[in-house]
Amino acid sequence: MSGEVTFAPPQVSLTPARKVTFAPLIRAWSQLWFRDKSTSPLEITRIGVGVALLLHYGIATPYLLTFWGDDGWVPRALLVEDMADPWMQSVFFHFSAPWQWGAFHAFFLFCCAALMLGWRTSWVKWFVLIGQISYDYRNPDITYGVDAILACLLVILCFAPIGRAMSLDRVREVQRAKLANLADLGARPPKFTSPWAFACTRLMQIQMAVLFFFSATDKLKGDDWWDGNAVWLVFSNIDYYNGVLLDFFAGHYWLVNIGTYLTILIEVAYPFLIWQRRTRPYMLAGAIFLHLQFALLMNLYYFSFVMIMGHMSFVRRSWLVSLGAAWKRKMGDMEMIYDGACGFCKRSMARFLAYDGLEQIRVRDFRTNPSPLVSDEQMKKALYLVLPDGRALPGFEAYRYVVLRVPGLWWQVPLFYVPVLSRLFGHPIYNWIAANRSRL
Amino acid sequence: MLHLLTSKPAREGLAYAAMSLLIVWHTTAMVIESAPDSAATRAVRHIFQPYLTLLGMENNWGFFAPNVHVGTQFRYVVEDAAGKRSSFTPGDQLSRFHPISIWFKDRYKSIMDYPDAYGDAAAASLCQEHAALHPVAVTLLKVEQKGYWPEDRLAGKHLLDPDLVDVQILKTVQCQAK
Repeated sequence: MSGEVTFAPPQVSLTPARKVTFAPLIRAWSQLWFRDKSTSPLEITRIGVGVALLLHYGIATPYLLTFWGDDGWVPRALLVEDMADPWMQSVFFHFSAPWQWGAFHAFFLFCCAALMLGWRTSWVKWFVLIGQISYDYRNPDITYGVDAILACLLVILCFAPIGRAMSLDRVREVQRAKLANLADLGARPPKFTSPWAFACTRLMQIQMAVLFFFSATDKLKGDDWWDGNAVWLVFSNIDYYNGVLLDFFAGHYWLVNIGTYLTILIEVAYPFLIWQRRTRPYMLAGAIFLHLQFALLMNLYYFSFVMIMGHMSFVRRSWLVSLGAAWKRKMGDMEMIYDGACGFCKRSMARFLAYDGLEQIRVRDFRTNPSPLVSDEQMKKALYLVLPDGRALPGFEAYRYVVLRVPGLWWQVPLFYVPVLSRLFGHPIYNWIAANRSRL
Repeated sequence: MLHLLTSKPAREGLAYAAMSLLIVWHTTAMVIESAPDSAATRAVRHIFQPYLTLLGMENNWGFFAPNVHVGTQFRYVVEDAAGKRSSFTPGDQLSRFHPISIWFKDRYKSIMDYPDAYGDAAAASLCQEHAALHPVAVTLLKVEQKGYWPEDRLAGKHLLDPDLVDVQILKTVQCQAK
């Protein structure tokens, strides 16, 4: 289901009577599920889920065999007794030697990193899903709600055509397009949209709404929540003990009632008000606030972060566009001037600009469009970056300035910002490349 | 007829129908999984159960619900040949800010909830860990909180004070002599 789908609702050949009945239903169904939209909200979820899984299981590496090995906390024989359901499957059930655990774990972490970066997304996402389920079923004792949430989000991400934006897959696509047409470095393939992308976004939205709805209704069945005492009971539980909060609440117990009822209010309101244009921002803010409280006050960082990533499915593309525009205004105009007669320079620019997803950098070929600020003689020695205040930064300094201000290039910041060493090595390396560019 | 089925509009129509079916299936599964147990949901849940189980999606999303669970703490006592008893609370060594703490707490919960299944192995591991004490036996304990309310807090009590907890002996395991 990760291929491009471009279709309009089917043109059904029907009798007039059936057209009156079915055509409006099909249109309504398509409007609800199959609008042509980008994958941006799902990409944010993808990145967040990848980060969370990479950190979570990366930290567990020293305990790999303790948590999930046959001689660890849950011996295989014990598990076989408890898990008679044939649909509870784990790749670990088929391992027999420790190196197999190690190899699988290493590859799983690699795939989590790839999912985070959006590299070869179409297949790594399936491996991440299989891995997550395998870890869960091999040791159910150390799983909790967050693991089921992750499985639900990963299933939808597997259905969805993710990796088309905010990803290395997109960078590769843009690079291919630019390298195929070096005469126009500003060109890039159109942004990916598809009705199926929107359908998967909807599925994730419904998942989050269902989760909150049943979480709220389950709470309302209990006296702890109905009577307004739940917040006190949570922080007086040894697992989440917070002495400072208890001291404060003991003297102001009405805050416990407010906190308890506010939690229920947010969870009850969310499934209904999150869909409305006017109330969505407030419900999102409320849900994120709730999860931040769980993280900061109960140390449930992993759970809270994953939940927030699920909520990202409700982020509107218009908000992202506004955020991008605000970022561009803040960072200011940037014009990179390069040597269009140099094949190496054009190829390098093509690869470099592919990471500029917000299109913050304008390019100018000084051979065909000389710059009023930088002379041709200067341009023959180095690439230049012209800023709105008239400053022109050469070579290494130009790249150093840009990588900090273009989000797609932030991965290069460690190379360019090591104190002393980056400039010490960076300048000679750039100067050598510039002097020998015709031979590269 | 074959031409009609393989034409572009037909393929698009089939794709549309397949995607619509998948959406209905998955949405129904999401709702049915968490819905209250009733005759109606039981009648259909078995249809979706393999799908939900295979993909690890089973959960009723009842976080701290319907009531906040009672707090428990795992402790153990190591007894040496001279009869000296040393008490340990492994959870106190865990940093809340470190992600592994939640795994170890879950481990302790498993031992407390299923001492017959996990107690022997856990005790053997503790015998090894405290070999310097020359242990002869390890006793596993479950400390369960009773009520702790603002008046207790204002009176200066701690939630694990002896009068506010029940201590249950889970199991005593003899350490294997070396």
